[in-house]
Amino acid sequence: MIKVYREKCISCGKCERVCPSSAIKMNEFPELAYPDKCWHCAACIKECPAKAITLLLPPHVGDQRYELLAWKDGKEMVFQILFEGEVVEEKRILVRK
Amino acid sequence: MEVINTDLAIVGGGTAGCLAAYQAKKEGIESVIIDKANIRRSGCLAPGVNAIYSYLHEGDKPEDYYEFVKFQGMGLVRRDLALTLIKEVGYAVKILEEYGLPILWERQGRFGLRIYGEHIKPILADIARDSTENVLEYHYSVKLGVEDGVCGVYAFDLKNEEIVFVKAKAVLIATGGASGLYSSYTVPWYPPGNAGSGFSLAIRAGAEMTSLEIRFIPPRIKDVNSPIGVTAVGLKAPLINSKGEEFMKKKYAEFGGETAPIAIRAYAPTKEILEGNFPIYLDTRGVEEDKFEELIKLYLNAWPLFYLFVKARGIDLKEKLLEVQPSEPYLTASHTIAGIWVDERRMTSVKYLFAAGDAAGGVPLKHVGGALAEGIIAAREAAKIKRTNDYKPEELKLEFEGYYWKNAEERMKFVLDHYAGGLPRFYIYNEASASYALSEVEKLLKLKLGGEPLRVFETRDRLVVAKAMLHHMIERRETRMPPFQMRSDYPELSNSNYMLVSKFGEKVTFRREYV
Repeated sequence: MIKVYREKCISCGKCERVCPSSAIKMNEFPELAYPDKCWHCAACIKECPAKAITLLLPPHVGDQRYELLAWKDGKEMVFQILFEGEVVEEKRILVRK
Repeated sequence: MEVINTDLAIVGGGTAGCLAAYQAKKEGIESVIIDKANIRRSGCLAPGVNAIYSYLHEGDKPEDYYEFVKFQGMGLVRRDLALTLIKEVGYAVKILEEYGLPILWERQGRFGLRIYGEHIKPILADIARDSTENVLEYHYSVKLGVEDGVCGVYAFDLKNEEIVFVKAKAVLIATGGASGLYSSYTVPWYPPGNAGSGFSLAIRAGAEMTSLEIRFIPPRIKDVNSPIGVTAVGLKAPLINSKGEEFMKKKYAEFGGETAPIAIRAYAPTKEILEGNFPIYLDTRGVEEDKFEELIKLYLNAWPLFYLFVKARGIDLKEKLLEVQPSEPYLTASHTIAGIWVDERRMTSVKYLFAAGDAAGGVPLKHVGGALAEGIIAAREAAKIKRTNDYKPEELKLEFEGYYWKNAEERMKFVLDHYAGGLPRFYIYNEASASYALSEVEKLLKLKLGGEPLRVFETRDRLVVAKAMLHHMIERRETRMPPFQMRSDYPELSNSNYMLVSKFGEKVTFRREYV
């Protein structure tokens, strides 16, 4: 599942455009219109220019207080694990030469 | 109706489609990519990938690759397709590297090349956009125009709700395989947007389909559907049951134990579960500690949900083991031989119609490398076509009033789950159950579906594919590759060597020998 932080969202619509499943619909803010089509691929999260979307496990799979945030920083992708909104771990990987 | 003229119409801007556009430009022909989403992240590589499998390292020979996929496919593999694709993967990798993909030049698995592949899809999209100005995004390919061979593609513009006809000398189906035929018990393994639309286009155009009875059921980390191969085979972590037995070594030595063909690595845990020996685990206790960090990074390249899973579940890989369970079945030529039948040029049985990647059947575990290679091969062959195309596109009347797609799709999934070897029946089916499923799917196919256009098209395509798959499942009266294809009415393991081919509109299925 994804979670949208409306106070951070700039309503640019990029998440709707890049979702490989067309699962997100933009009104004033994005909504996961088709939860059955969310692959949990994190494309919307990585591409969001405002860091306004996080990834959650489906509720039957795990603790909803944990979230994954990701963004591109130069040639790296940064991944953060949040617990109740606080960063608990961060990892970086190279994504472009 | 707007008509766009081109040389090569590429249906699907994923792994195979983007490289087909590249090769088309190299050959001096024009191409148009039609994608129902945005090519930056569409298709199977949206989350990334940590290796390009089907890659020959120094010292490997094409024949070694053929022997490997033959073993993995339990004997069922097309030699001509395996040998032609493996020769092109090195060239494909060079193109990706030129565009900025970080490659480690290390072996991962028998024929894998390690990469930092999180950004492989944005890189492929850059390649495609440099190769053609014509990328029709948010367009659903609903039908092929056929008249003495394929003449073009009817594409529905999802934003403006209009039809465009892309008239072409050749058409390449590069849509990927089919997800969502069966219910997902958790996050799906294969992209839920892959509705089998390429299979459906081919079936309805009268193209021959091959081996649709050989479904793919990946053995996975339970609940999160992360790959286990990299941990199990790569880090030599054995599978154990609740009694602590290393059952692959103990019971499946004749198939190769821990490195048995992928079907057996899905079948063995299934059998342990049915015998009550669950939970099944991947025993990571013997793995060196410094490998865990590397492992997490491998997953971040390909499936970041695993990182969240490990943290949210509080899994310490040194102590707590990873539980394993095969997922629901899928149809994709990336992992099994199920798909559209193609010849060595990747041309289907319909003239000028090509297929590549997860849409083109015949080589198991062809993965990303195979898809890249087949996009190149198909475009190169398409460039040789000289023909006139006087096809006059018809006015398609599309209506979206009718039986709600979701109700039809839910019924289809329920029927396949319960009667066509879904997870609730642990993949088993028989003549009576599959025949019942077929009659129910045929009823659903007679309905006029309604609702949002994208979902109406996807449900219709899934139903077309389900019907074809069921014909194949019924026609293979043996158990050839458990659990991908296994029957309760013919339980003995067979080692027959024929492929089932089907063509709709004529006799449904027939046999062809492997050569």
